[in-house]
Amino acid sequence: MIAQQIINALSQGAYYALFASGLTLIFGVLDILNLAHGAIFMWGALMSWFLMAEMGMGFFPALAISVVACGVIGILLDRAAFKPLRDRAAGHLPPLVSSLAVSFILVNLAERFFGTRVVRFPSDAVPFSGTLELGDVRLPMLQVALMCVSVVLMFALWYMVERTKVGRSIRALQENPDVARLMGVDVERTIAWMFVVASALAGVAGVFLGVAYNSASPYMGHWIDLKGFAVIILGGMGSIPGAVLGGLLIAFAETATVVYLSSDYRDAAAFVVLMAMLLIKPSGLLGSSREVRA
Amino acid sequence: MGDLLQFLASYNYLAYLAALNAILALSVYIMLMAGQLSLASMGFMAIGAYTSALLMINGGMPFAVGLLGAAALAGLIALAIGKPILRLKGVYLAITTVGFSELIRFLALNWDYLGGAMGLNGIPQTTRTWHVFLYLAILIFLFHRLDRSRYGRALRAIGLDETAAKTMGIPTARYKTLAFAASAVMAALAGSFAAHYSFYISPGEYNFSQAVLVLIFAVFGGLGTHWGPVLGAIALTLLPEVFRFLQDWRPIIYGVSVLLVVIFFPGGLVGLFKLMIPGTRRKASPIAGGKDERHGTA
Repeated sequence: MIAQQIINALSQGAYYALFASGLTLIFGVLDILNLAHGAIFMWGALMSWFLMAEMGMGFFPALAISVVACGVIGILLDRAAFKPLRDRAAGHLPPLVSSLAVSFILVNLAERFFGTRVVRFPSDAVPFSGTLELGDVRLPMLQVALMCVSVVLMFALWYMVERTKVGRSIRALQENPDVARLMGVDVERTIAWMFVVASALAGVAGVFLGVAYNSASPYMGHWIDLKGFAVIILGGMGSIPGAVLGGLLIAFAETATVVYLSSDYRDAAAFVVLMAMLLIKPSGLLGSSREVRA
Repeated sequence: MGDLLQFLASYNYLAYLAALNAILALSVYIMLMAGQLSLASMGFMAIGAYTSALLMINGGMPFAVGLLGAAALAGLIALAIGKPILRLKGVYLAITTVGFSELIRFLALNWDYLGGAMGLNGIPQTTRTWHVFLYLAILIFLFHRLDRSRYGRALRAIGLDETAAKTMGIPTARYKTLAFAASAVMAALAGSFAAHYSFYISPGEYNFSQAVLVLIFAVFGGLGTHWGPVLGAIALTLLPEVFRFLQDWRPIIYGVSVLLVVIFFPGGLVGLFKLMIPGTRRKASPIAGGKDERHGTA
């Protein structure tokens, strides 16, 4: 029983980490909350459903196409909602509102293209449908696959940020955008790459979540934005290991709430943990203390 | 004749909704004057709605007592939590206040006394449309006075640069907490009026989406003066009606309008009007424009 719950929490934490790592990447560099991240996540899920159910594709080609498309939506989002505001240094409030406007547009377009109902994935298109039995613990293969994918992608992301040229540019921008520009960092190119990576990760999370719960709808992105913000604040804004840690913590808090209290309080758990954290250490578990207090 | 009555009835509702949204936008705006992004309005709106509804249903109190109770409770809660919460800045404050609103919603959702997910039924319909208009008019007048007062200037100063304001001797923590309490009372009264207008309330009405919609009203209208949030709320409440012929595509028009105004008009709708009417241009908004927040505080 306990082992089963731990597995559930781990796979839930893997979703949160995938989703939140993109948010935290964008926040770390641009200091903005991207409220369209959940809409991109939703597009990943619905597009993969469309490719599998309506176009008869297999899971992997559908996953690949959806993730690439999410990356492209990410660039478009930056061009439409963030770049014009960045050019006039508009502070953090206008980008919040413009990304929300883009989110409205993306949700409405999804309603037009995919319909407003909750859709089910075709059972024959989904791989990993079996379950792994370890003693009395039942492990759906899909959960195992998601955890593996999540671990691999988090390592890939960490590698990109810490070891590649784009990653070095991203870290330079986090540190100080003006100096980075003077040192020859191509700021716009770096930011574009960052949106591609962040949005593609949201797409991966969307596809897996849609398949795992066997449901997708234009409104599935609403709740996860909020969860994602809780996760990145808990972990420390801008920190990728923080996003993983925050995702796991919130997933464990939620699972514990369901097990020991009631499933009614599940969604409150994230905020209780978050507010306690903010009152004790406002910069998050792994964050620097920049800009938190006066 | 029947059609005409129906038209007037729906028009009446729309006018009420526009005024209510304008009040909520003003409750977000008073915090934005001080440069603080608080999304707690939905939580306080819920507190106000439930307080006055329960005072009337279970306590048998008159409407006026319900309103007073709602305002008092919201104000006290805001004063109590204001100080620790307002130590946080920018998006941290935003998300914490969202968390506060969500916790209030969960409380309403899971506490049987508050009706749970079913909400409260049979609330006396004591709100008249003119109550809401009068309330909005009083608020606009108070904001007009605030703009020219010592307190209003202090809030603006905090919004421009909190450290500098503190150095000048402005008690920033106290002023921010007071603004938070004022915002809470405004939202709570709006919640009471809304509850007693509609006979029925449920926790779902006070969610995150509503909170950010109110923020959109304020930013869309412009943050230079208190007319911005009022104008923005009215424009965005009426917009879907104006574009009714577009049917299912309306949310796109909504999104595109908000995007275009935020991107191209830093001063919002009010800024747009000022551009069109020569001679009315004034200083740029201290909140929406200019400073890069990143380097503001360390």
